[in-house]
Amino acid sequence: MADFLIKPPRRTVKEIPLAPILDLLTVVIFFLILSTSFEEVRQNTIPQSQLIKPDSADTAKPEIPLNPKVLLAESQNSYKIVVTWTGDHPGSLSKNVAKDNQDYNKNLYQMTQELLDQYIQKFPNEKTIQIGFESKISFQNVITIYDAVYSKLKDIVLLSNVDSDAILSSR
Amino acid sequence: MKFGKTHRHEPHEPQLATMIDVFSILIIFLIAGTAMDSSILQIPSDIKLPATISDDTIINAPQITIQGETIWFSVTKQKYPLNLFSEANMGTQEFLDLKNVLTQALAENSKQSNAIIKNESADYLNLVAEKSTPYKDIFLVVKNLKDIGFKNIVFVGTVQKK
Repeated sequence: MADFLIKPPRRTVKEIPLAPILDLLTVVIFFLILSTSFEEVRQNTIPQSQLIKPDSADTAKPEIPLNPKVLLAESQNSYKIVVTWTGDHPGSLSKNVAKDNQDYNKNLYQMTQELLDQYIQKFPNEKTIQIGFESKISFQNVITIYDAVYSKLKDIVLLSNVDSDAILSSR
Repeated sequence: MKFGKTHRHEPHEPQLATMIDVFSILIIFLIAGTAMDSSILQIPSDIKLPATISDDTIINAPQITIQGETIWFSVTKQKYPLNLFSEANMGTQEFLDLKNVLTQALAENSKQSNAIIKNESADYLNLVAEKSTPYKDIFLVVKNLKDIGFKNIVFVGTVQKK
């Protein structure tokens, strides 16, 4: 009868122990930060030269290598991009691009891509290409052409300025 | 009949003090993190790097800086004349000394890479150069460094928006 007079035990609400969780998160954050890099600079790697092993079907009839090249020459107001190759059906493509005052000449980048697209349509299985520049071409333009070529073909070999000058002057 | 007062639930208060501590540390590291790359590369303040749209991030490797008519190596922390790499100076004692130092640095880097993490950065070299540097200088340096044994030369540039 006197049960209702007894005060019922007070319900205690369990508190989530936030402090150890936060400690743990602190440690995790350290590792997250250490594994993150906030980049201001980027890289372009000139890879090692590679030999492409021909398929067994091709060994019967060895083809003349294409030796494709992308070359850049500079005149007073413009650049000349040349894509040239040898092989059974030698040929070349070229385009002139006007100079601009921008650091990164986007036209140069786009025109190089367009020329390479035409080349790749002709030779879709060719994966390696050489890039060469006139001696006076600036490092910025080397990078611009490299970016454009690398977006289409991954195996890039640098051609010497002496060879590039010789090829360009003979054209 | 119960007329007892109903128990009032008190809302939980988040522990703000500890959270603020954590976020303070987080902010400090985020700010410091933005400059992490500069510890990998030592870029002179007066050099204008070329822009690139490459997405590849920088790796930890020895550095060479071409600025004007001089080259600087992170390995020796010394400046050398650029024409040291020209055909005419190939046989000079200064060139041979530099070649020895770089060969040793390459071997040391390779040993460390194999011992700690088996990655490919042993024969990498970061090339930092002024954007106006002519190609003949770039190629001269790249060719000689490849001959020494640095198989992968990394051109360093600033980020260009696509």
